[in-house]
Amino acid sequence: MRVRAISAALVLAFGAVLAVQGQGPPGSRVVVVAADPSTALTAWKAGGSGFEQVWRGVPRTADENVARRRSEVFGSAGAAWPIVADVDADGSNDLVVLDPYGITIYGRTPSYYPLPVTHENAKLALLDADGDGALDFVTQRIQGGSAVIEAFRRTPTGLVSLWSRPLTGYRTLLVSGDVDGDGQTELISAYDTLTILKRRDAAWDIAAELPVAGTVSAVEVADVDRDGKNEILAGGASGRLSIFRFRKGSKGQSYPVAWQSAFLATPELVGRGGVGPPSASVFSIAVGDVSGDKHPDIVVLTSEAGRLGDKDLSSSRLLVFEFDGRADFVQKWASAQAAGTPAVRVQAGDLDDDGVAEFVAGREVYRRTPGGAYASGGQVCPSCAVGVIGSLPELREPVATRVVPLYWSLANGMITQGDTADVSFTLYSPWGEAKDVTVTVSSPNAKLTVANGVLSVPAIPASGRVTTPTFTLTAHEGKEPAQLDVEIASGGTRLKASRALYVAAPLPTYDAANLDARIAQALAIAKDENRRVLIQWSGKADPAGKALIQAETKGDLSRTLLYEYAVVRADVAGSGAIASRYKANVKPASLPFLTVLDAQGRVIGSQPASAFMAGTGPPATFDDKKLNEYLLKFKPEYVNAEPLFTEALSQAKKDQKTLFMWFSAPW
Amino acid sequence: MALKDVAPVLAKDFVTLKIDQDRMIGGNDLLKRYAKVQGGIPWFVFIDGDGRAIITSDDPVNGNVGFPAQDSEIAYFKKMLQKVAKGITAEEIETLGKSLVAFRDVTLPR
Repeated sequence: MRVRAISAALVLAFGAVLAVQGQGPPGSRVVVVAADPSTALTAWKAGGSGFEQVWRGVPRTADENVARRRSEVFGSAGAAWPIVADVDADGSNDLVVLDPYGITIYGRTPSYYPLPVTHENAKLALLDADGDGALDFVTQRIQGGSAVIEAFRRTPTGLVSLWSRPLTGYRTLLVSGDVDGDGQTELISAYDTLTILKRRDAAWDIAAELPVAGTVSAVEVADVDRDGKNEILAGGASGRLSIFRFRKGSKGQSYPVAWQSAFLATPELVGRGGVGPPSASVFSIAVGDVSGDKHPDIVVLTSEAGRLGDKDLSSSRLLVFEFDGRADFVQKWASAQAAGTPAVRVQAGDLDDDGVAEFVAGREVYRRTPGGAYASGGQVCPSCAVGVIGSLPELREPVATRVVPLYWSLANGMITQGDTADVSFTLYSPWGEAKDVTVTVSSPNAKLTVANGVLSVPAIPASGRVTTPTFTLTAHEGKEPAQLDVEIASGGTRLKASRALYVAAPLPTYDAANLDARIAQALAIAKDENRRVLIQWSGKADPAGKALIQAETKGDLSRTLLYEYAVVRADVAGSGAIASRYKANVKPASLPFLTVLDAQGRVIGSQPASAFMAGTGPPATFDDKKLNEYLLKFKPEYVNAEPLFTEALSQAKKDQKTLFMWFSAPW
Repeated sequence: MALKDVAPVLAKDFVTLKIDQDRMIGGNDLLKRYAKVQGGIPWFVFIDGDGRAIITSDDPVNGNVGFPAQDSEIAYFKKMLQKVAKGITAEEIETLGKSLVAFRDVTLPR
């Protein structure tokens, strides 16, 4: 493998960069993957007839759905991929993994570092952020829709924040590398611009903003022209691969585009009119000597879309570009359109130690054929997506105590304003038994109040789950964000996590405002969704009216209202004329009063709600089953989906459009 | 989809049809006809004029994206649009993606 052959020389000049890119001291040559659906990381090594699994990590959460919802799944676009680097400078590479709650180092001397704040949808880079010669962690997280970059130094007692700076706008990528040839590593943050950050004394400043067309999906840093200096390779929605090369001249420093590919859509799609605009996106970039000519080649994974007449030309494709030895890269090969499961990342590395790199897309391994083309030569593993390729030793799990919150008992993370709920957390401890766990729950503002927020769990077994005692949560009115701060302490470790809540509007009440318009809106919903309209006449202060609303939150009655009705709650004060139009008896003795309308606005039911009271009261209570039976009498006949589908399909064909059919349910 | 910035863009290329799986006769059968795996709802599919599914909301890697909210789900939804768009431009697809991000950031609990 070429990279390995020249590694000794390059380490002298670009040691930090090479370490971050995974080329370091020898170890087991493995492919690291994210196994789906177990969510555990696995490592695979090329053997005689295929690949053998040499390691499987303990799943970092115990629940597949939880993992899927976090950036811990590596098989998806934009995920935070593991990094191979000798982080602890013990002479052996490590596997560094970011998850929302911490950073794990798997290696000869594994360790775990809780993050001081949760990192959802975050990215990780490694570099010397403070100039002390040691690699530090740099994370990029999204906070309030914009990116925040923060650097952390590792200490025996945990992470210490070195610096933090916000960036403008949303960002999806963060990579590191020396891109100006001064021996220091820069950071590149990307989405709809490429931002290069550079260390100047203790601070990190923006050194350059490189405009890009569309958005960027892939960025790599590599010396693709072998001039001893790295270039920046980037691509995305523009459908082109661009190479930016640092230039220092009399007018200052810049990163002009040194080379740009043609538009990477399938040739049949380019230059043909009348078939709609073809699109191509560069999804992933890998650099390695896949051709065996001792020069770096570039492998690009694209995602393309377009149609030619009735022919669907959408696909993923792999393309190989080779350096011509002067200044140009020439496309030497493109895969056939790969319909079906699209890969989301391509990686290059010498998997079989024959001196020539292979490249892996998804789980397929591609090698150069004697004829100069490339062909799939098997699969790494049956159900996985390759994340990184690197030289790694036997990997070990940390022995650190780690407790992460898996779930809470609050359904959908929602609470209704004015409501009080008893809430518990389910905790998970992946690596060992966690003893004397204390969870402290608090709220940063008055929108939520917490009672009994200190929860004690004597022990959580290794890879086990335990539910905490409950704390009491009450939601109040307020414009501030609803958030709970959770601190989990176990032994000497502490994890601080924030949980955002959705505070639902309080239970509805009766209102006279815009009543005609509200009824009209309900009728429109009824017509569109084949429902009935229920008008409930009462008053804001009427205890029976409130009790009726409470009853409507129960069991089958709540389902009937959700499924079959658009409900309008009308305050009778000032609504007499409208009530008489619907022949509703809104005298105080008759309240609450129910009017059922069909979708055309015709009254099909008229009834004092007192008929459904559970007793004589006070206080007023309602028999939700009786009321449900009454309302079900007016349930509309359900329509047949098939004729609607046929009609929509016919319309789409006639208009030369596509049918966008989506399935949902009232809930 | 009914938002004023979204509906006109979708109308350029699509005839839309909402199927209530629970309240339409045969709705579930229609779902089964196109959904090869049971990944829950919302679930959606783009269908050509001959009734063939062009692409579904089942991301081969992560499963049904449902209402696209997470980054990977939004990325896949954009990919779906890229695959079926005829008149919708790449810029409009990016805008739709950003509108999903904005919607998620203000509405969904994390």
